[in-house]
Amino acid sequence: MARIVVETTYDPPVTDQVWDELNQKAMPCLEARQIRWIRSLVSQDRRRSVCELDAVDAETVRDAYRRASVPFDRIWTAEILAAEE
Amino acid sequence: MAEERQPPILCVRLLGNFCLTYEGKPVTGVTSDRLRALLAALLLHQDTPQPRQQLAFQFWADATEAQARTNLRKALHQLRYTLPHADRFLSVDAKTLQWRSESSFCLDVAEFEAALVEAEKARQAGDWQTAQTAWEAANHWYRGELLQGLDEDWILPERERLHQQWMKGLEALIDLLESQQQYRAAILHAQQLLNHDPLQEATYCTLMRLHDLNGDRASALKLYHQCMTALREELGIDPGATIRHLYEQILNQDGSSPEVAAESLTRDSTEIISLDSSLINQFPKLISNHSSILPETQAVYRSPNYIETHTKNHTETHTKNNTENVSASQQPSLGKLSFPIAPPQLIGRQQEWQTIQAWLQNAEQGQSPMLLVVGEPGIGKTRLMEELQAAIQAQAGVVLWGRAFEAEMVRAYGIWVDALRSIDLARTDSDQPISLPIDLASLLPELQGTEPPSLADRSRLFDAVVQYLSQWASHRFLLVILDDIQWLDEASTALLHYAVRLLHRSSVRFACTARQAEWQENLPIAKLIQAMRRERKLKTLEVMPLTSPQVAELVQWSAIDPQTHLNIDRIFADSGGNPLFALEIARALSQDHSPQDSQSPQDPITPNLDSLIADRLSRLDQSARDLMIWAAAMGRSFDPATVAQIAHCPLPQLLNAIDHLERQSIIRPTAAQTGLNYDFSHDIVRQVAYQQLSPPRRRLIHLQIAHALQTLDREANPGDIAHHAALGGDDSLAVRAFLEAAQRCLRLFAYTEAASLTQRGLQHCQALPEDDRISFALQLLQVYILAGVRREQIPTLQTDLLHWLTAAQNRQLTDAITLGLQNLILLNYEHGNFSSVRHHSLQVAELSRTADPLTTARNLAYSGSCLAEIEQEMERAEALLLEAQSLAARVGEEILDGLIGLGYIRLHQGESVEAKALFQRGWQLAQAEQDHWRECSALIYLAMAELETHQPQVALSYCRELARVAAQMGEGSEAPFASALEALAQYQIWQEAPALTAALDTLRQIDANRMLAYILTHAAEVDLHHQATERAIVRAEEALVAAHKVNYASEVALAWTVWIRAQFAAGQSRIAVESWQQLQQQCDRSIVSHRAKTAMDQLAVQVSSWLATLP
Repeated sequence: MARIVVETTYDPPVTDQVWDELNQKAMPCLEARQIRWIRSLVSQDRRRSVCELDAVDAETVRDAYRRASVPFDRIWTAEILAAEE
Repeated sequence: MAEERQPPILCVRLLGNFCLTYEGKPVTGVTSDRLRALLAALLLHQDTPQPRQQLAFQFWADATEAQARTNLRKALHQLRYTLPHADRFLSVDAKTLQWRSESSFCLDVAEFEAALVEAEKARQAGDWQTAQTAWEAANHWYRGELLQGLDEDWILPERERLHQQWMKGLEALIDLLESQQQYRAAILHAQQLLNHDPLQEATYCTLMRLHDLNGDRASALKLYHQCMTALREELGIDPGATIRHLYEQILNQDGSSPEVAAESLTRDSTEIISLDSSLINQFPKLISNHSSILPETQAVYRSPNYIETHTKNHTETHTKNNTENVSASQQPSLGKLSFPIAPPQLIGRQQEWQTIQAWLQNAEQGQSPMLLVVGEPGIGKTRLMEELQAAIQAQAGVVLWGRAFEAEMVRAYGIWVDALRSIDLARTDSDQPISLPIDLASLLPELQGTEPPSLADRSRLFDAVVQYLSQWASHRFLLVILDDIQWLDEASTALLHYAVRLLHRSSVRFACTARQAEWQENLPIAKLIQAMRRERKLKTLEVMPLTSPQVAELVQWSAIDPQTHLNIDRIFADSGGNPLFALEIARALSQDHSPQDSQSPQDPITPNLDSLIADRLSRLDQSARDLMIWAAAMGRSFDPATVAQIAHCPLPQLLNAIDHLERQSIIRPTAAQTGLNYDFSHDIVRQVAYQQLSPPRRRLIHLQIAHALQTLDREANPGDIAHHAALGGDDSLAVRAFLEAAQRCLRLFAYTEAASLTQRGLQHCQALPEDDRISFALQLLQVYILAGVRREQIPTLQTDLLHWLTAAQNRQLTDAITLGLQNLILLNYEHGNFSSVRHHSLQVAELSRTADPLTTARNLAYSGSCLAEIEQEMERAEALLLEAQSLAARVGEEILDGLIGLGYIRLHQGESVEAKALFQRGWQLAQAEQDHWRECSALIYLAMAELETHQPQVALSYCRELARVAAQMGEGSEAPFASALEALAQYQIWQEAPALTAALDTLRQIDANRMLAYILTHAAEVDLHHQATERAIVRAEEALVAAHKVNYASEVALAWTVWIRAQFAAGQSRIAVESWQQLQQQCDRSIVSHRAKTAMDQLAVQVSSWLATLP
C-alpha cells in the first residue's frame, strides 16, 4: 500500500454538507478499490483540502474519485517524512 | 469435576438399520444376518456368559448338535476375524462366550434404555427439563425396531419390549410438551408415533387435539379423514365415538376465539362444546387447510400424461415432498445429482425425459442453466415439470415452484413470491443454516412484521433473492420451476434474467414452461429468451403430441370406466395427440351413449376442447358448480377458506364441493407452504368455467370478491382488489386499489407494472365525483411520471397535468394544486428542462424522484461499471449493467456508465466488435453531455481495443483525440495515458523507442501501475516479436510487478506469459516451464480476460511442444 495525497480547492468554499455528500458519493468506489481514508486537512477558509489515503497506487484513487464525480486538483503518491518521537 | 468421557472406539447400532463402526470407520465384514444376530445376542446379554451349547441351539435349532456347534465355531471365527481387535471385546472360552462390558464400546440399545431410566428418575423428581432432554435422547437413539429385517424367534420379544418402551417414552414426552404448550414439537413426535402405527385411534386424537391447539384446525380435521380412510381400508370399521366427537367439536368451534377454542379442547374429547361468534371472520387462516381433509380418490396405478389425474402420489408430491423431509443419507454432496434421475411416471415422454436428463447433466457443467419447455395448451408441460420436481426431490434436491396467471400480469414479482413461498422459508438445513436476507422482506412482508424494508435500488431486491437461492445451492441441488411464463410480468422477468446470469455457475437450475404461440407476444419474455439463446444459456424442449398407441395407453390408465369400449383411433384423430384433449374426448365418449364410430355431423362429440370441458362442467352437482364459479372468477390458485368466506358457503358444503371437484379432476391441490391451496387442473378448465358465467353474474361475483378481499384479507394484494373491483364495476374501490398497487410496484422498482396500473386507474377515474376525480388523477399521474416517461410523451402529459391543475384551481383543492405543481416539476426535471424551476422546487423533485427508473438505472450502472473496471464480480457487473440498460431504455435514455462499463465487459470477454461499438456510443454520449472524464475514459478504451485487435493506426487516431480532450482537463492522468497509448501504437508500427521510454517514465512518476503494466506488456510483446529478447524480459518483469501491485489478474497473467515466452526465446526453457507451472497454480482462469486466456493457451502449446522434445 502507498500513501496517496489528494489536493482539492473549492470555490465557493466547501460546506460541511457538501463535504459529507462528497464523502458519501466516493465511499462505495473507494471501498471497492480497497482504498482506506487516513485523514483530511481542511483550510480554515474551507477553500482547500488535503486528504491522505492508503491505496495500491495513485491512479486507483484518481479512478475512484472520477468515477464518483468527486473533484480534485492533483493526486500523488507521498513519502512520509515525520519527526522522530 | 466429572471425569471426561472418551469417545468409544466401537459403535454398534441395533435399532433400525444395523451399523458397526470402529474408530469412526464402518466395519464392513459383518454382513450376514446370522453373524449380526450373534453379535446382537452377545451384546444384549453382556451381563452373563452365554453357554456355547445354548447359542448353538438358539441359532441352528434345526441342525444336529454337532453341526450347530460347528456352525457356531465358524461364525465365531468369522466374527473374531472381522471385528478389529476382537479380543478386546469378546471373552471366549471352551464353554462360554461373553461380550466384555468393560471394553470401550457404544451400544444404542443401552443408551436408549439408560436415557429412559434417567427420564423416569427426573419425572419422579419433578425435574421436567431433564426429563424432556432424556426422553428426547431416548427418541434419538430409537431409530427403528431392534435388528430390523431379522425375524428370529429370540429377537421378537426383545424387539416388542423396546418398542413399547419407546412408545411409552414418546407419549410421556408428547404430554410434557403439550403441557408446556410446545405444540409444534409435540406434533412432530405424535406424527412419529402415527407413522409407526397408522391404525392407532388414540394417536389420531392426540394429533388432532395438538393441531387444533396449535391453531391449525384444517390439519386437525384432515387427520380425522385420514383416520377414517385408514380404518375403513385396513380393518373395515368406522372411527370410534371418541374421535368422532372430537372431530365434531373441532368442526363446530366456529364461534370462539382461539384461546376459548383451545381451552375447550379438554383431554376428555367426548365432551362436545358449542361455540359461538365468528371465528372464520376473525381468523380466516385457521380454516385455510380444511379442504385437504377429503379422502384421496381415484386409485390410479400409473399416472397418465395429464396433469388432472393426480392421485395420492401427486398429493404427496405437492405436500409432503415440499417439506423435503429427507434423511441425511439421501443427501447428495454439494448440490450434485446422481444420474440417471428416476424415470417419470408418464406415458410417451421418454424422449422429452432424455432431453431433460441431458440438460441437467450439461447444466452441471455450467451449460444452459435454463430450460424452456414449450408446447400447446394441454400437451403436458406442467405434468412433465411435476415429474421433474418429484425426481429432484427424490434426490434430496430442493424445488421452488411458481406459476404465472393471465389475470395477474401486473402483479409485480408474483411468480417469485409464490415460488419462494412454495418452500418453508424459515427452514434450516440439517448441516447448514439458511439465512433470510433482510431485503427479501420487501417481497415477502410476512418475514418481517408489517413494515417492509425500504430498498435503495432494484439490485438490492434481486441480490436478496439470488443470495437466498445460492445459499440453498451451496449444499443442495436447487431447481426453480416457473410455469406458464408467457404471462410473466416484466419485473419477474428481469429478476429471472438477473438470477440466471448470476447463478449459472452454481447448482441452481431454472425450468420454465410456456405456451408455444404466446410467449413471443410477451415482449420482456421474448427478449429474455432471445438473450439467453444468444448466450447459449437456454435449452429449449418442445413437448410433442402423443402417438396413437400412447393415446390408447393414456386412456387405459385414466380413471375412465374401463368397461367402456372407446374408439381410440377417433380419440387420437380428434385430439391430435394432445393428452388433455384426448382425455376429455374419452370422458365424453364414456359418458355418452351414442354410437362410437359415428362420423356424421350430428355426432354429439364435437372435436372442440372447450365444449367438451363445458359439457363436463355442466354435469357437476350444484354445490360443486357454485364453488367452481367463484374459484374461476378468482383467476388464480385459491385458498378454499377465502372462497368459502367470499361465497358465504358453509364449511360442510364447501368440503363436499371440493371433494366433488377434485374427484372430477376439475381442481387439484397445489404447493403452498402457507397452506393448502387449490387450482384448476388446467388453465383452459378455468377459462371454460369462467366463460359459462353470464356477464351480469360475472360482474356481481367480481364485485363481491373485491369487497370481500378488502374487508377479510388484510394481506390481500391491492392489485387483486383492483382487478376484481374493476370487473365488478366499483370504480371508486378500483381507483384506490389501482393507486395503492401502483405505489407498491414503484417501491419494488416494477415500473412497467406501475405504469400499467396507473393507466387502468385513470380509466376508472372518469366515473368518480369531480373532486375525487381530480385528486386521484393527479396522484395516479405522479406515479406514472415516477415510473418513467419518454421524452416524446412529455407534451401530452404536460397538457393532461395542466388540465387537472386548472380543474383543481377552479375547485380550490389546495392539496391537489400542490400535487399538480409537483408533478409538473417532476416531469420537467426528469428530462433536464428545469431552468425555470426554483431551487426549493428542485429539492422537492429530488426527494420525490429517488425511485424513478432513470435514477435506479444510473445507480445500477454506476455500481456495475465500478465492479467491471476493477475486474471484480464480472458476472454481477454484467447483470447490473444489463438491468440498468433495460431500465433506461424504458424512458428512452442511455446511460454513459452503462455503455462504457458494458463495453469493458465485452472487451474482457473478447467480444471486441461489440465492445468498440459500445465505447463509440459512450464517447458520442459523453461529448453530448460534455462529460470530459467519461469522454477520456471511452477514448482510452477505444484505443486499447484497437491495439488489442492489432489496429495501431486506428488506435493512434483515438490517442490524438484523447490528447486533445485531456489538454482541457486538470492535472490528472489523462494526458500521460494519451501519450503512453500513442507511444505504444507508434512502437507497434515503427518501433519508435524514445517516445515510449518517456511515456513510461511519466506513468511511473504519476504512479499509474495498471496502465504501466498494460503498456509494458504490449511493448514486451513487440520486443519479443523483433527478437529483442533481453528488453522483452526486463519490460515483462516490470509489468508483472506493476500488475501484482494493483492486483489485476488479467494483467498479471498477460505480463507473466510474455515473460515466460521471453525466457523460452532466451533459451531458458527450464526456467520458463517452472514459471509456467507457478502461473497455472496462481492464476484463476475463470476470472481473467479472454485475451489472457488465449495467451495462456498459446503458451501451454509451446510448453507442451518443448516437453515433448525431452528424452
